[in-house]
Amino acid sequence: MAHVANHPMTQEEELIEKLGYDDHFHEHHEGDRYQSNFINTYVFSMDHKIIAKQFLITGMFWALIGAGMSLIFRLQLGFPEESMAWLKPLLGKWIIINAETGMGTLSQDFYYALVTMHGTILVFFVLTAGLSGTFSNLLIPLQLGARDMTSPFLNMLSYWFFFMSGLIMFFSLFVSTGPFSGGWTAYPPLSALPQASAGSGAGMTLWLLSLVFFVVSVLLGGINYITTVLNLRTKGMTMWRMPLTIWAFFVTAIIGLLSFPVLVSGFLLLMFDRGMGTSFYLSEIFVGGQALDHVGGSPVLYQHLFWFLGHPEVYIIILPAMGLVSEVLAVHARKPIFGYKAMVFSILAIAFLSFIVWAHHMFMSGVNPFISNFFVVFTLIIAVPSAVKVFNWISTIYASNFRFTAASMFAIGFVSMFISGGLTGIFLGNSAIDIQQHDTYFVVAHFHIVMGVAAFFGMFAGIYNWFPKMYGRFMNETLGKIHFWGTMIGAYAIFWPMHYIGMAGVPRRYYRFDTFASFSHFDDLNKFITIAAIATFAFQVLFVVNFFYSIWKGKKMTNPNPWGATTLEWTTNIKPVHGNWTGKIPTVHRWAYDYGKDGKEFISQITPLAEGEVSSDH
Amino acid sequence: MRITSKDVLHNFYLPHFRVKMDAIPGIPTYFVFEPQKTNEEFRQQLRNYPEYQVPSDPKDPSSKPKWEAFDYELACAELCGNSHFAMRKTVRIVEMEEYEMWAAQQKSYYLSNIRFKDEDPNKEKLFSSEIETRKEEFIELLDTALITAKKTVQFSYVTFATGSEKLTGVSRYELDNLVEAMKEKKGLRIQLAGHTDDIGEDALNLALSQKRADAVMKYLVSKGVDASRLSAKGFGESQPVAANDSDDNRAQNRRTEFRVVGQ
Ligand code: HEM
Ligand SMILES: [Cu+2]
Ligand SMILES: [Cu+2]
Ligand SMILES: [Cu+2]
Repeated sequence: MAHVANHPMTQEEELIEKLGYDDHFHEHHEGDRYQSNFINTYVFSMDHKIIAKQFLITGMFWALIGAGMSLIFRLQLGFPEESMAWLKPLLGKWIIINAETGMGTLSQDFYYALVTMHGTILVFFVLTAGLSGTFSNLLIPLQLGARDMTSPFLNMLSYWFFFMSGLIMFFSLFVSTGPFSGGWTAYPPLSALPQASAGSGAGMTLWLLSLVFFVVSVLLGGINYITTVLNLRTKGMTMWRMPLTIWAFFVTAIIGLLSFPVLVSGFLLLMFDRGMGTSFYLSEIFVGGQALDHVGGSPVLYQHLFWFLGHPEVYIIILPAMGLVSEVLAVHARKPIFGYKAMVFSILAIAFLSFIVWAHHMFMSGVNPFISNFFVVFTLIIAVPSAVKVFNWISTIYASNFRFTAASMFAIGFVSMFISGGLTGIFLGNSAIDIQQHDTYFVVAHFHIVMGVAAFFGMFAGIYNWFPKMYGRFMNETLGKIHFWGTMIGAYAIFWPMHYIGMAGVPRRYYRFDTFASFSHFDDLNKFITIAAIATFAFQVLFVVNFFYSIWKGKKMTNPNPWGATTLEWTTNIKPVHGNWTGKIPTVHRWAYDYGKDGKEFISQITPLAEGEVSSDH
Repeated sequence: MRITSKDVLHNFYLPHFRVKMDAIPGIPTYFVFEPQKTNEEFRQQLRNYPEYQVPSDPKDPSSKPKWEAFDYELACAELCGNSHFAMRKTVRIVEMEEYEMWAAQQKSYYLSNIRFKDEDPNKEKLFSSEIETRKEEFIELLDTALITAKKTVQFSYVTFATGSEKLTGVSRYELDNLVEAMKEKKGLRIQLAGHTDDIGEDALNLALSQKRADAVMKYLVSKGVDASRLSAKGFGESQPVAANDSDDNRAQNRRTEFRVVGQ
């Protein structure tokens, strides 16, 4: 099919026209029935680019809700003596007004519900679906030179299962006994016995249902990502020529496929215990002096099943961020990524090890200390591939002519966060030190920095970098940089002090600290943290405003490859059509990191080797 | 430190000692640690610091100074419901003797309130520690009996379903101890004896006590003790060990014994 465009062909288009592969896509799909009206173009879309946006915007919605919840419970922790009566219009009966003084206090039940929902929403909805869902969908077909995912239909289902899951969770916020309040890990017996706490009734039933829908979504997405990477790479795109983003998404999907089903089986047994009188997790429990019928089960079994997903899950969150950061750093450093193969092998090593460290979350759960030794060793070994990656990122930007953009600054911020949080992981990984640190604010500091903040930084780097690909416009750079500095300083201000509070032994998930003489002398730090959290939140609002403003009013993209990147997504039209390339699909002749080679600033993957050029492939 | 829970997961956390361990329903856990200073010793140490000389309650200047109000604390470090943050207890570190006296009087919730009651799901079974102690108890009873003139041992835990000769589940543990003793001391020959209280007709009581002694003998034989070394006799209410004038005394009279007749 001939090239049909009314502007002069760009160099990329010429190359594709000359060397591309003709799959006759548009002869079958032009004026596609899959995109014939508003509903099937923007709502029940099967186009991976639209689905990516759906994941992103749904994720942003949940991020705002989840972060808003954290502000409410931070107010409680920083200013327990202040009245919260002004939140009554929003929270209704969960704010209890003292009839005499007019003082409004946050109900304890709701405090725990907020903490639980915050964790669940951020871990699953925002940093799993919002991050991996967005960028795997956007980049896998585009960077591999594929028209779309292997099964666009399953891909659509994946989003809508996620949507349903969110709907159910949202609904649970409004049931009269409140949403589930037993922590995002949902340990039984608290989660298994409806009579154990208010949120363990209807709230927990909906929580479980929601997460089962969520897992279906993850699995449908994951199957698609894996098969697309394995089968739909364009001609010349060998595995060793794939950008690190793709490697990261690919391995993430494999981890998800192997670990999420274990979570579902754990949940299934929990549902049986809740509704059908089984005793998988319950034994020798007395409620109101009456012994329950349940005997012989073990609550520790649930913890094993949960953390067998739970630890891989933290890598499901961080690996896509690592992939995005690797790509953004190389592009903006204008240098090849340092140690491409080492990067791939460390992703694989992390993925493998992530399955044999789960009991480091259970050192204090009564497991045999000799078994802990095994998990200590493997936990500490994970630091090795992690350190390899950090070393390579730093080497990539070292002595480079670094281009400071909002995207690349967030990528550097990611490396900073990953180092800070990774180091505290090594403390926690020693079971003897963990006796003191377990379930204190030290753990809260650790995982927020290494996972929460770092993954958000990776996501921001990705959004600023690929926004032009998604919307054909740029986000405002100045606002982006303000957003970066506000978030960087703010996040450290929030989480750094928590290390001290945790080392002093203050437990996490406390509604107030004045019940104990041992924990009550950190009022000033707690105030400081709360103020920092509010300020950091304000910077995120700035980001959201910038995001939506830029969709419609941002600076228009004129150069289809604004960052001078080598990868295939920048060889499409400014606004890629359904099927991504208007004519043939590009073929690939080199790896993804030919920056600064032979005196050229960058050489696109679609460019054949020049005469006498030595391939930099691995 | 032995730790259990009777409802949800908790975590037994002593912030001053930097130790913690989950409390799990159904699975007892433990840790070992050695405190160095009693509460009083620690208070005296704190007394030297100016920040501990202020009133413990800032709103009440006449309250005890902080050092004097000091206590070691016990907190919960596992989310256990909406009062998780309020599960506070104070801990007293005392000298070893005082501790041992206190420990000797303690019994777990289960052992003191539930064990062998109707709602005890394990009432037909003994735990291995119980089996151990009862075995030692039995061996001691038998050894003493062998050197006294009466040469009679009264079973402590052999009981029957009311009005019948059906042995209860827990009876077998003590009978198994006897079986083992008979297998060890090859020359031992015994007469089993059943006794009742005075409620009901004499003849019926006599018949019941005979049946019960027979039931015990049958059990022993089924466990491989040669029948020629055993005999069984019911005595009804003829040989009380206490006056039949109260429930307690009558309970003493309802008993199963054996007398060593050859060794
Ligand atoms: C060098 C690498 C790391 C080591 C050695 C490490 C070690 C640990 C250990 C031992 C704990 C349990 C602490 C406790 O509960 O007492 C923990 C908690 C946690 N870690 Fe890490 N970690 C590492 C990296 C990461 C990464 C990369 C992430 C996520 C991207 C992460 C996320 C978490 C989370 C979410 C928790 C807490 C979960 C909870 O209890 O709610 N960690 N880490
Ligand atoms: Cu982990
Ligand atoms: Cu507790
Ligand atoms: Cu608790």
